[in-house]
Amino acid sequence: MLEFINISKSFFKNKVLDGISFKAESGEILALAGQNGAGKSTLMKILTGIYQADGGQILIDGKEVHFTSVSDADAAGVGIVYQELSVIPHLTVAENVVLSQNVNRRFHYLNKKKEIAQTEEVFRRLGVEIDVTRPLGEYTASTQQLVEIAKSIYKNPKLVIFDEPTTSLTNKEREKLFEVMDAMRKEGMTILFITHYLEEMYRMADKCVVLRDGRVQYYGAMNQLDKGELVNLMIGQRLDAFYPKIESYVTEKTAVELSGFGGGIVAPCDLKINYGEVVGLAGLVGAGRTELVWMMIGHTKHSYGSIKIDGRDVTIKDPGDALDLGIAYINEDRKNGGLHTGMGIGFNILLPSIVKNRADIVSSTGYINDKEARRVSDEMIVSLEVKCVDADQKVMTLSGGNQQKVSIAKWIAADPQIYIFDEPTKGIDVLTKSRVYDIIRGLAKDGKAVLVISSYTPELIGVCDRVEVMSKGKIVASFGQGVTENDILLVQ
Amino acid sequence: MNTPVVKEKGSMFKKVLGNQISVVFFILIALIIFFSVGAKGFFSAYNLKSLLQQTAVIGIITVAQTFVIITSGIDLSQGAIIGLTTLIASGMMVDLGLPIGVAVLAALLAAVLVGVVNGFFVAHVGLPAFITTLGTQYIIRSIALLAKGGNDIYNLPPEISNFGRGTIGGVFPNLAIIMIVIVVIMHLILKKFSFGRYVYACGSNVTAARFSGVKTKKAIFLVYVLAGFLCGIAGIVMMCRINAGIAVCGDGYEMNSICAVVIGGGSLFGGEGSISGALIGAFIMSVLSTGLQIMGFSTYWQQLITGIVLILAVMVDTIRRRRSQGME
Repeated sequence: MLEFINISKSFFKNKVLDGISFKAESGEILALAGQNGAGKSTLMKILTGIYQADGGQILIDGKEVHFTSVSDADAAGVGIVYQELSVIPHLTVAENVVLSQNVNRRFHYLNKKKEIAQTEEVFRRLGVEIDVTRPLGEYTASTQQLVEIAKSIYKNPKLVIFDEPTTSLTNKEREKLFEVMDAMRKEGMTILFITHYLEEMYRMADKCVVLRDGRVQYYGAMNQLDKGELVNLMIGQRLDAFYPKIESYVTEKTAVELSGFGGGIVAPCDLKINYGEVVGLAGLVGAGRTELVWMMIGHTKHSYGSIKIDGRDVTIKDPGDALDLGIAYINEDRKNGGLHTGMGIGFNILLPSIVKNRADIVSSTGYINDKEARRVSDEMIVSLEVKCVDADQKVMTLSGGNQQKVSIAKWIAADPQIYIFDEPTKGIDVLTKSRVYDIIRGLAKDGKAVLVISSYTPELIGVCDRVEVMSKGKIVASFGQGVTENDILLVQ
Repeated sequence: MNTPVVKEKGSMFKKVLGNQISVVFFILIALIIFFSVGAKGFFSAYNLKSLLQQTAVIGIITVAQTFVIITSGIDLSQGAIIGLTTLIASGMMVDLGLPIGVAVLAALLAAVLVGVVNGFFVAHVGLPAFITTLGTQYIIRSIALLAKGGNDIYNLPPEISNFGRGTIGGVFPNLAIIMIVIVVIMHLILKKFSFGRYVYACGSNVTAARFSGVKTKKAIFLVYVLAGFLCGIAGIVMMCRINAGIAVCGDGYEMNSICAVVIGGGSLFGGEGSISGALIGAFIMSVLSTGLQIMGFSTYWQQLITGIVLILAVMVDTIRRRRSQGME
């Protein structure tokens, strides 16, 4: 159905794609695996007409195609479901679905009945029940994701690209999405599936293409490639211990202690983290984990209970107070809350240190020593291996993994004693994930107290000394070493 | 493969072209050369001195506007604050016979107060800056007009006009020196002090700034207070230049300062802008108006040309930005 023959593409003499060839048949899900920077997104941009290839051919149903714009690709039956939502909340579901279509518009007149009927038909095909006349803003993020899918199905594509569709979904919602993908496969559509989760590839894909440094490393059946091999092909080197070996650095001294602490959807919680300890906070999306830590750092107000740092009761009114007390919060949402993506790497890395008046950078009058500041940000860039041109490069131009390194680096530079990581490996490549685990264990080794929120249970088991499970706003269970995924899944 | 490359300098050529400040600086130089050749008497000591003097008021409020715009706000009350300041200061001197120092301090205090009101509503109540400062603009202009029934105040103590005309060493006009001192101090605050970082951080992404520990409300509040204070100084400078207190004497000046900031590379979305760029922007506008005036164009033509320059400058900047993003 779709065939790439010898596709290549360079940006400023930098070869991003080098002779890519593979095929995808109708009624097939093909996983596209590779780290950030492997060339996946460039290839998809070529397929959707955003970029043009320097060489090679794309065949659809045996005919060569040349897409010079997104609408060309659209017309040829290539659809894409982006990771980020591009829906409009105050329009109804149906209006969102037909938004980019002019089919119903004769003289720009919108035929409402037709619009609704057609949208309902699309959702029926997907096996989803939904009231299409309600504003989309009333639905959850996962429903909005389904609407994204409906938008592309509506155009009757032969091929749909799913770009990291599960990143913001709960387990249950993910199941629903997989059902929809199955339904699409049965209808004979071709799906190109991009995901960072290896389990999802094995679960859904028939075939797999592994890209690394712009070349195809593997093309064949998914089930003929075992997980270890897949990871090795993706990163090009052996990754012996994906999770760092757990050696306990836990001390007797308590860093932070919550007693009956909570508010809003969070019931009174008791939680204690010692220095040198990594505590995991497991649970489903919506269990109240982020809400709990937001109250801990004073981003939102708590209504009951108390928080002790080093055994003393403290009042934290905003994240600035938290920083003063040595608490760092590594935001899950890098783009909106964690980083200033429009500013340089150095600006981002230095901000908390400047707020905290780190003595070697900021004098008591608030004067910034540029030379020292530069030295500190360069040091952080080197020690966390941020791939960049220099400290002035804007953060928005970095890959997800490198952005995450910057968002960790900015806190390490301010030297807090307590670290709270919120979904630290969301949307980043395998190699950076493993680096993040090393950093977390390294912090514990240095005697810091660490709390890690993650919806991905295996990584919690892999890096934490203890895992607390939250469900519906309550901490419901606590597991030490030797806990299994099943234990956690059963209680959450 | 994962080795970071730190400190790789781009070529000089690329740096110059990739920088809005150098682009507008070339435009300014080109304009000066153009008028020096085309407008008789433009490049004279007398004219350059008066050009400096003329730019003083706009220059100072442009500095204030730069801070506000970097926080992604806007200050529309600037012109009204200038009017109010001239009126309060001259009224206290002429009508109440108070000493110059007291009158100036009281007028500055009033200007700061307007800044406090702006800052309170924008930072703490969370009203849009556009609405808040538009509201205060109307309110304080009205107060200034009501206070003297719309009449102007003349016959100020001679020290005022002496200072306004005065120079240091016969070369540098006093008023221009005030502007230069403010420019230098504010540039240092913005680029070299932690407060400047907070200003950029709040404008670039206020949520991320808060999560990074910045006391965002306090920072934004202070920016408006500072802006009010600087507009007060601009008002005093204005009074020294026109030797009068006139409620409407600064009307519309905020538009000039917004233009100057934007020409100088500031973004109304926040997070971008610099004092040096904005100051060049302010000079471009005064050079244009003075030069065109000498060439015999009426003020009607001047506005037309200023409008074109504004759109051209921002267009160049937008294209440059789009290109640099496309390269990534």
